[in-house]
Amino acid sequence: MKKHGNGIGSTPILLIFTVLCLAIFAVLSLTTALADKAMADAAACSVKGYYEADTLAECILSEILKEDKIPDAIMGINITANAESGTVAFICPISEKKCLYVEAAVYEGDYNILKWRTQDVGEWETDKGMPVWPGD
Amino acid sequence: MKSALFLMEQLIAIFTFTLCAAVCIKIFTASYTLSGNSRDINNAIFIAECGAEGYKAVNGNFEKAALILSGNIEGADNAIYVYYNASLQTCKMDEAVYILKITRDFSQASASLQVGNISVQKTRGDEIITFSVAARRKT
Repeated sequence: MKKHGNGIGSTPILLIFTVLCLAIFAVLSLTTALADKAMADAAACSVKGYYEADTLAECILSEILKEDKIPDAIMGINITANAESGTVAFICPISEKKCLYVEAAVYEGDYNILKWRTQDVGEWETDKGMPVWPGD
Repeated sequence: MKSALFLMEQLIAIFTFTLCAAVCIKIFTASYTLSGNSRDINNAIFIAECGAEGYKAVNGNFEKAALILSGNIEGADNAIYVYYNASLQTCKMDEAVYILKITRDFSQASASLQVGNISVQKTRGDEIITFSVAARRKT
């Protein structure tokens, strides 16, 4: 009669299975954590960039109020003045792909914000690829 | 002979498993630490944005900013301190996990501009996020 049971060789199979499971879950958790960290760092960078641009814009508007004549550039930022409407417009960089566009109406010693919005700087590239079978 | 071979196999299996388990536990620990850091950064962003928008909303008035943010003006530098617990609710100092600190920046301030430095740190740790925020001073 043939003897059945845990012979030599069953332990390594169980071991390989356990180690494989452990390794897969470890790698999955690490990749998820790395992706989350990259996302959080990007969000922090974006928020810091926005508030730096926001502060710069406020400083520029403050400088404009001090000047009798609106200068062409303040703090390295070009100012576009419209004498007819009495408005100024300028763009503060947030990141390589985003900027803060500000437009304000300037009165005597005061200003009124007309536009204060983030804009995309990068060019839009349409994805024309069609990852489907063409039917040939 | 067969029992000796079986014992040897068991020993090698245990040794290999211990080695692999140690490596995997190290990876799990690293993932846990990274996740904690990400959570701290995300919470710090939320707190810092609250502080910055609160500061701007009251035109850089420190007393009003402290009031609306449920914080206190304290310390030698007269900074606004707001304490947050792990659920991001304002709390007492001894229950705090995150501290929002707003200080005045006189170097960039002018007659029409108030500038504050926003920083968020963990109670036991370094600063997580820090930036300046400017508010238009209203007379």
